[in-house]
Amino acid sequence: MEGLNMSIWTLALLIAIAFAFDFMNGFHDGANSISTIVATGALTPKQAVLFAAFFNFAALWVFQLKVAATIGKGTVDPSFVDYYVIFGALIGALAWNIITWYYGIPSSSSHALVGGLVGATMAKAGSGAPIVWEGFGKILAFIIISPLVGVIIGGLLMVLVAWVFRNQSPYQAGKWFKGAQLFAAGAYSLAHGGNDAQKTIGIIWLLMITAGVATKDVGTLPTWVIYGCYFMISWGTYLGGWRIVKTMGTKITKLNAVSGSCASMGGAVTLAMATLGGIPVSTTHTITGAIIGVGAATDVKAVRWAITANLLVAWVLTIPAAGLIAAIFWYIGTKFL
Amino acid sequence: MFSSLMPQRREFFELLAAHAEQVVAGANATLRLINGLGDGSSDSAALVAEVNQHEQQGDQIKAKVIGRLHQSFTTPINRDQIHALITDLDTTLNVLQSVANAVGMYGIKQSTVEAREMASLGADACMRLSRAVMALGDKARGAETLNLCKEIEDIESKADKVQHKAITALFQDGANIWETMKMKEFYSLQEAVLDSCQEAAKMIEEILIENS
Repeated sequence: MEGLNMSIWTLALLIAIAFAFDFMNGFHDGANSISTIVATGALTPKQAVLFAAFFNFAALWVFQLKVAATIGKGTVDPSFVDYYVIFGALIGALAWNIITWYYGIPSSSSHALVGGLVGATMAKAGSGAPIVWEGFGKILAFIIISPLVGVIIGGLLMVLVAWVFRNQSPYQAGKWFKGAQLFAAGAYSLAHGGNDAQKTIGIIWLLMITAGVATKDVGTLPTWVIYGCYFMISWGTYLGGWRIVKTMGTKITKLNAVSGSCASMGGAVTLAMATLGGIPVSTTHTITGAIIGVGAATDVKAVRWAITANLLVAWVLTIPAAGLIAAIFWYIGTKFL
Repeated sequence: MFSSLMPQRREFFELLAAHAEQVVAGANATLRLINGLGDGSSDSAALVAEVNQHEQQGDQIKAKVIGRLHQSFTTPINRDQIHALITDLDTTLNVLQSVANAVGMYGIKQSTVEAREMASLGADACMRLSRAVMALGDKARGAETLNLCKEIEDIESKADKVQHKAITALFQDGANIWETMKMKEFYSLQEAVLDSCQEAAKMIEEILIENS
């Protein structure tokens, strides 16, 4: 392995960048989990971020590290990766996240990370040879699959709820959903923490394999990495990104307590299934899909399709853009690190 | 996509149509009442009773619609619009009732050409309104429904002109002041029937635009 000579300082710096990425992920994506409860007024923004941060962290005790394994060893060949690649990948992903956060585009941190990793690896290899297509292909496929599953589950949940409560007015049903909405948002935050914190765990794991301080065996991964990653994403969520709350909660479709619950629950179920299957998916895509599904059930015109199209453009751009920035920073890293 | 799987609640369309039928029946009874005034061809008291009966049935249907709005999670069109439309239909029937009752209240013994013309325009507008309401649930008939609404608005403008003509006639030199007062009021009530038909037609247009 090439990274055996990595200094402790380089290792510490890269772990710090990974933590920063994780923090940004919470800061950036955490807003999704609370957008529905804030938009419907179930919790104040402050309460909502605390609530989401708590469940982000609680995911630590719920999910196994399957997603981390896919990122750590299933996307690119770990034996090819050195710390320049990880540096490029992290900076590429971070930079793209900051750009999209600044412009209020709900893009995916996950795809930014994967895009960064693949971009930096390809820059080093000069080809796509070290890409593990089984894992990367799965991630690519789920760019399409996860929002679609979100649409379907969100939409079907809305249909189910409409039949269960068919003889009650939305206001009466809404009272019942004040509680259900919190349950759904909690489940969503749990699933978000599970899938997203593990992506950073995966990248640090990959880094440690490269540095020679861990192996492909999950038992060699220090527990402080796991706790640290879950903590950083929760902290990021707590400090939340308000711009994205606005897009998700009010621009795509108007949500009330009932449709908000269905959207959160649709997102939570989809994410949890992906996490259990070890597939890193975009939490942003998933909740957007679920919101669209709910909107399509209640009123097709309620879905602001133009904004949905904007999201699609951001999604398509994420992997190549993060990959390109990562490739540039891989090059810079080889000169200065 | 999912909207076709949602509870459809077509009964709102059925209830609106049932109410519109009462409006048509009320308007036809009012027309017969006004046409028969003075020539002894019809039983005025029975016709007024008939209008009152349709008004009561309309009230019951309106109450049922509002009750259903409180007990439905989904509605086939916006619930505010259902409420607004049933209210407009009910107002039409209420004004028809006022017209019919005014005949006795003001002691109108003889109808005029203008009163008969306005009653006929009112019945025509109500009939078209009813057809528009009945077609509301059928998206394929949107153009036809929209056309009916336009026709109702044309009829209302025509009635405005008739009313102006009638009032001008009332205030000619040597007019009987009592006769002028009560007929002016009567024409206003007749015109109010067409105004509320027009309101309902505008509501239907709004619904059609939103759901097209």
